[in-house]
Amino acid sequence: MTFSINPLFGLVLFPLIIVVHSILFKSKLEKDNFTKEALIISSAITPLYSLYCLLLGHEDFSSILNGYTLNFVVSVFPFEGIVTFLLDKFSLIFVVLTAFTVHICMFVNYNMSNKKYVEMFILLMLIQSILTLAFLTNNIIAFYMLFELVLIPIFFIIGIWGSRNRKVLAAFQLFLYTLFGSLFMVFAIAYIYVTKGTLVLNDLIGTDWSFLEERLLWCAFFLAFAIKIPMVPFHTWLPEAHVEAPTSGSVLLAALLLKLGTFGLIKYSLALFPDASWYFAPFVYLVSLISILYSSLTTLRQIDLKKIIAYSSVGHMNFITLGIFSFNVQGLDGALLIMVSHAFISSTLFILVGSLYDKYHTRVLKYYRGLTVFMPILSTVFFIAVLGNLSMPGTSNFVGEFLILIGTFQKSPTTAVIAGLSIISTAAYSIWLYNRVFMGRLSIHIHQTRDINYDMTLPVSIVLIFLFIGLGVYPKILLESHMTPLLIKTQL
Amino acid sequence: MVNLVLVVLFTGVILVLIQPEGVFFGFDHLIRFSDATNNIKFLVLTVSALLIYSCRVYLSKYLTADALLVLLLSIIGMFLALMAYDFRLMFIGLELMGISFYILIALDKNIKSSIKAGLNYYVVGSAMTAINLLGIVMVYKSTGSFNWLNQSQINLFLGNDSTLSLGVMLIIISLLFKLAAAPFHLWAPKIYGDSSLFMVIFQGLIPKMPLLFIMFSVINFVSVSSDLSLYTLIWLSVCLSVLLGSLGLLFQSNFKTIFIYSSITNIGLALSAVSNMSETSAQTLAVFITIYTLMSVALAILFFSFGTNNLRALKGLIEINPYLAIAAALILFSLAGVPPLAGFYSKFSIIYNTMYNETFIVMIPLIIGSCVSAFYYLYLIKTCFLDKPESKTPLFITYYQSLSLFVATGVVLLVSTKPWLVVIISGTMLGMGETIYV
Repeated sequence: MTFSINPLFGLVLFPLIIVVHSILFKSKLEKDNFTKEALIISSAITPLYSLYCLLLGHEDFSSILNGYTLNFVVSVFPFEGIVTFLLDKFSLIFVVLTAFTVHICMFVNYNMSNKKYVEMFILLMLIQSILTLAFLTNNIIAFYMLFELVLIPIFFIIGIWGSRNRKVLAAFQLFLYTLFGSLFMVFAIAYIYVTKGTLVLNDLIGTDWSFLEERLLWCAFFLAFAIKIPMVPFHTWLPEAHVEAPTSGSVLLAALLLKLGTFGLIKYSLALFPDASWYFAPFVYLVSLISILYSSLTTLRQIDLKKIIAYSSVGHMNFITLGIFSFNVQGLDGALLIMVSHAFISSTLFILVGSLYDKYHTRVLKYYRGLTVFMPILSTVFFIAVLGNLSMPGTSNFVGEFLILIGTFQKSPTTAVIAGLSIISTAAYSIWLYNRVFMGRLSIHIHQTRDINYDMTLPVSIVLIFLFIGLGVYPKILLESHMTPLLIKTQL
Repeated sequence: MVNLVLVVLFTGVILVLIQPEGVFFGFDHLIRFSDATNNIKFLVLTVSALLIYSCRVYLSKYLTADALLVLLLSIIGMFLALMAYDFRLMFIGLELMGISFYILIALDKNIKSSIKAGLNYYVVGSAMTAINLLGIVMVYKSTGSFNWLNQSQINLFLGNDSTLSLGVMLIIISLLFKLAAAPFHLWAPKIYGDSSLFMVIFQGLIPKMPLLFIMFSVINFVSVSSDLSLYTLIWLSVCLSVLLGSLGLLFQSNFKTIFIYSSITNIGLALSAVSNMSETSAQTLAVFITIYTLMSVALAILFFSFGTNNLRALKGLIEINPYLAIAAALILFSLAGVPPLAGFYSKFSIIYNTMYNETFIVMIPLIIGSCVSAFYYLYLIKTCFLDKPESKTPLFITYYQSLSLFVATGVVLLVSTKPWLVVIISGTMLGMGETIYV
């Protein structure tokens, strides 16, 4: 089917309208009795509409860099040109993911007071609009600007609603690490504009670079994305930020902000500098392998529940870079699948740990033991989420990791074998985590409370579990090979 | 009396607006009128009017009527130097500006050490005037002319003349001193530390635009393009200003020193555009000065609203005055260069200019400087939003302050949403580009 109206209008405008509305009527909303319900319903429009676009309109934008566009002519020194927002299927997957994750965060925040909820709602909606635009845009400088702009709301989310005093340090680290990396990227962007005179991605694909400049530009882009993914040794901001952030902040970070890095690698690094990507692939393998092994080993010695999930995120995200730099359809499709499934699985884990924190106000693992005794529902749900995290067959992580290992094996069998070791270590720390928290005799430090069936955690996590198991059983929705056009276009 | 000064400034704005476009010379090529000088005059007049309007309560309390006249005299000095097409007029204008500034600092009755500051400023400033004069004499000895007309042709004919290049270097050094660019910046924290906040902001912000333009003209008209020592000096100044300004900014607890060090960093960035002779650099300089001035005047009006110089006043601002806190966040994020706020466009234009002129050396100080100063601006935002206030009493600001803060922050925000506005506001792009070919 074709749309009579450009679907981009809806996707971009809905969240912006809601933001403006809620800022204007903030004081009225804070007093109202059904504010949270009203806001949840009103913000459900975007995820539903984007899902509608994904399921029904796929003939119109079946391949990467081809679809509906929305153009703005920008003329400001030094750049003059067109900023395009382009809706292809690859970006649309991330738009749907953004809309759903932000909507899930609203359920997660349900226990907040009305005032806090409205303030958080405004920041969440801002993040949704910024990220939607960042995933849709086709102009490098616009992507860079949105990539940086999203730091402002997440800085306030961590800084204001974080749990401990260390939150300031975490927010600063998040902000400054990204700023540092992206400064190199903005130098590279300026260089591209000076030499080629355009910043539109479609025009830049296939341009010729000299050996040195292509590699330097690739390095500048890679530094910005590597900090965002994050790859060892730039990963230290992530555990800090996850530990200090409120639950919805952690969900946003894991599900969306880290994806900006891998998304950027596919859409910008790979498409703009294919030769340099090919040249540096062994280097990326090395860094990814170090990150995977280091993160899974260091997860074993962590005692903070959120840090464990954060370090396991580092491992999964670096699996994605392995897949991206295998340069074949299996690897790239696996990377796309893990990007989506990691969003679901780590969100589930963060939400469940957040509900534990709300009950006992500690995340230190040593205080927990034997929760199965009086929390059967939480234990079951957590167990399924842990199985998802260790890539159990039947969950979407399994399909993704399997595809990535196939893809990597074609390029470099040694890398695939070493990366395969992580299957063991992931299982080790995940199962050990579950074992320490839920099994055994009841800890003396915790008092018995209600199970999670009395708040919003249960429905949200069950929906997420259905999503990642559904993707594991029927991954074809994401694997319709819209990566092939990218590979053809960049001649990889 | 403050009203009278405002009327004078607005009359000046109208006079500037009705000037015809194009380049004109007067008094046998002594004075030059051009679009660039007009636009800089427009910016100087509006920004100083905004500053004076926001502090009118302060000014009528602590400054006498004759002090305000001296203030106007300093603006006349700036304009004379700005329009100069000749070393004699440039010298007279700069001296008029300098002497007015020494007197102005001493005349402020708000702070006890102001006379000491004025005297210190006078002593250091006179030494630099001597250096300026020596430079002018050396250029005269070598070229036989004070006028900038055909100066560059004479220079090409002369080739690498050491007297000429030393003279130009001395003039540039005296200008760098007046701009408070490193390594000639050490007087600024000392002397401005002894004077009041209004004087720091008026003298640290308003003369920057004309001075940078004068420096650009001197380098373009007088220097020899192959003169490497001059460029070495300016590159040294760029690197040192950005690094020392941003490192000096760290953990300052006084509004005056925050403002001074932030201006040192930004002047360093602006100098990186001065030192390249191309149309792109002229445009970059115009965009950068405009945005920097707009952001700084917004920051200055914000600092004025607390009635104190101590950083503690910012603590927990979101609880005692949320609108002021949001304005502070906008201004500080803009200064940190976070897109799409106005500060990003100025930073990007500088980066573009370094790439365009292939002066990659500035990358390293720029990255370090941006990160360090972004850290400190973030620290200020953290003080506003995340700290607990010292007292829960709501903070009220005067009508004048709120109106001028609204205007200043509004302009910064408008530039962010509609970036082409900077082209209209600065308007200097074409004007400064033309100067190269005149």
